[in-house]
Amino acid sequence: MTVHLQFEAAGLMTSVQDLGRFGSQALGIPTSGALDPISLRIANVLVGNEESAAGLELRFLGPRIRVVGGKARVALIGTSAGLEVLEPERRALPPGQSVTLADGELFRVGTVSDSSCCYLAFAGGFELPAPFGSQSTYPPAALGGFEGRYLRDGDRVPLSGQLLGEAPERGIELDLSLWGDGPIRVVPGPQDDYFSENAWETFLGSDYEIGQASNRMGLRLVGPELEHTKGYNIPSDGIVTGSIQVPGSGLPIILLSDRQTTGGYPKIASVASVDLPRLGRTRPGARLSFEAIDVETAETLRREQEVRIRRQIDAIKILPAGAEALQQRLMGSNLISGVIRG
Amino acid sequence: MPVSKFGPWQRDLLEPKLSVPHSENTMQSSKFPRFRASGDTGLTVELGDRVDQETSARVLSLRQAIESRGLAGVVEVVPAYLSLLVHYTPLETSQSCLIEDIRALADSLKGGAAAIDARSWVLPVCFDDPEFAPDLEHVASWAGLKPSDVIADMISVEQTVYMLGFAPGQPYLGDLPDRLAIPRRMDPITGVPAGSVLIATGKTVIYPVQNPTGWYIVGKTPIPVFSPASATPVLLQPGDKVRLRSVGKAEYQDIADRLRNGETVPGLRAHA
Repeated sequence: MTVHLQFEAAGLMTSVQDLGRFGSQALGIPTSGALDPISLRIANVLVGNEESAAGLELRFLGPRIRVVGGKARVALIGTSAGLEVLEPERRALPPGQSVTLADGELFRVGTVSDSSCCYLAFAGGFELPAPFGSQSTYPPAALGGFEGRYLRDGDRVPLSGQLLGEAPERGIELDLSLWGDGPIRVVPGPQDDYFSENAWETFLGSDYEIGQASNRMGLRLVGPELEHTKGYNIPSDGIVTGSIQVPGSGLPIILLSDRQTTGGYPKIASVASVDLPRLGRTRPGARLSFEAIDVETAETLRREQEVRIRRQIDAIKILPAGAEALQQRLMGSNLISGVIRG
Repeated sequence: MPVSKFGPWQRDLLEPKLSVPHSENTMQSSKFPRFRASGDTGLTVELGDRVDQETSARVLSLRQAIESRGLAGVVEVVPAYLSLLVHYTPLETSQSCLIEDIRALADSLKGGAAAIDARSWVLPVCFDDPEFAPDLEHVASWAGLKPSDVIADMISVEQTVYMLGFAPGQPYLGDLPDRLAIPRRMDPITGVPAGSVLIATGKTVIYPVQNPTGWYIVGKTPIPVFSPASATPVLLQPGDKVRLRSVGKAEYQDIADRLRNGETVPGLRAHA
């Protein structure tokens, strides 16, 4: 029998995401994919998957899931919110490592307050189709994921069921500096010539707040307006994840994973790819500022980040049997608050 | 927040572009290809500054050349009206390498754009139903024409797929006769159904899914341009040629019924 995840509560905007649907943007198919790919990659390695496998992206409020039809190995990365088993016996699971849940166990991830998103990976991944080569969910076109939509209460999502044997659990001591901090770095262009120098100084010299209307398609920024010099319509051209478009309102929108493939508003700058995972994690109400860098610097920063991600992944350790029980005792007596450090 | 972040190298990027007005007299060859950074994962390659078939042909043929060259680190290439966007990974290449390679490829095409693999289509469109074509009267009166003239104009031309975008499989077709080049709406409307045929700025789009629009709805086709469950989910590709054929409500309905029953609809391809 296939192992399923039975969603007793779906959470706020839980969706299946992998690292994105690349190769079909010329047909108008958006890439979608995880807002924070670093966390998804690490969660996948913890459960023994390829880094690029699909996991569940949880947003703000996690789901309550029962494992049905067999065992499931799971890892949660991207939040300090815990993984908690509710039935048959309540227990808190240690963060930063894989754990194996028994048939029938009900677990949940509670409120995620330190990020806009986090990831649950399952050993073997999902038994779901991969339209255009990806399992990522794109709800506006009902593409990918589970029935092309965010999960709902009562959904039963099949796991591929490849796992287990007696493979050991794995754990990681996560270095949060991987995501970077400070101002969000941007590369000017491609339509920087549509803005006055004044607009540039405003953009780089101001704080912006992430608006409540933000979603997986983009972050709407609230703050000083940016002045166009040549209107705000361009012949539509291709856009990247991280493109910062400025429509007629003058308020920038940073385009994220569910962005359209092309657009007709001028783009003042693009977020350096090194800062996209951090940006994907930011929550409405958070404040951002921007710093301009050139392309070569952006490329170098990204390569350095990738080396550090690899080092983190290589440092993933096999845990001795019984480690979970020990950690739970420690957590129970509140001696440690988890293995995530900043 | 100090404004000194606005470094001198940025001024280098800005000033020439701000101070040089678009000059129609400049030889195209000296201005293009023009490279612009779309961050460190995208390179925008501009090949002209007028939206027309000639620029589009250069865009599509350079795209084909880049894809068949198989440049390391290139993820995919997205064509648009005046430019193409080369998505790349900085883990396998750099923008400076790509600029060098793509400039060479563009130079090698200067003798004349290579023909790209294009297909020809004839798509049925029902214009005569007010529910399908709520803006036909408005477009006609804007143009000082009768609705039947608008329809005659629309079916008289063979249009080219400039690009796809906005929604999965959504084609941008052009060009319509100049007298139909109505500007976009001031205020977008919502809930435009899939299959709607819309025009503005001398272009035509066909909606794959329900979406808002700033364009004018002048007809509806029963042929889905995006059908995710199909083996070929996206009907049209950049460069394809499309002619519209006016059908009555009965024929529209008949084709829609046939598609619903899983039957094929003959005659969509002009040269099979």
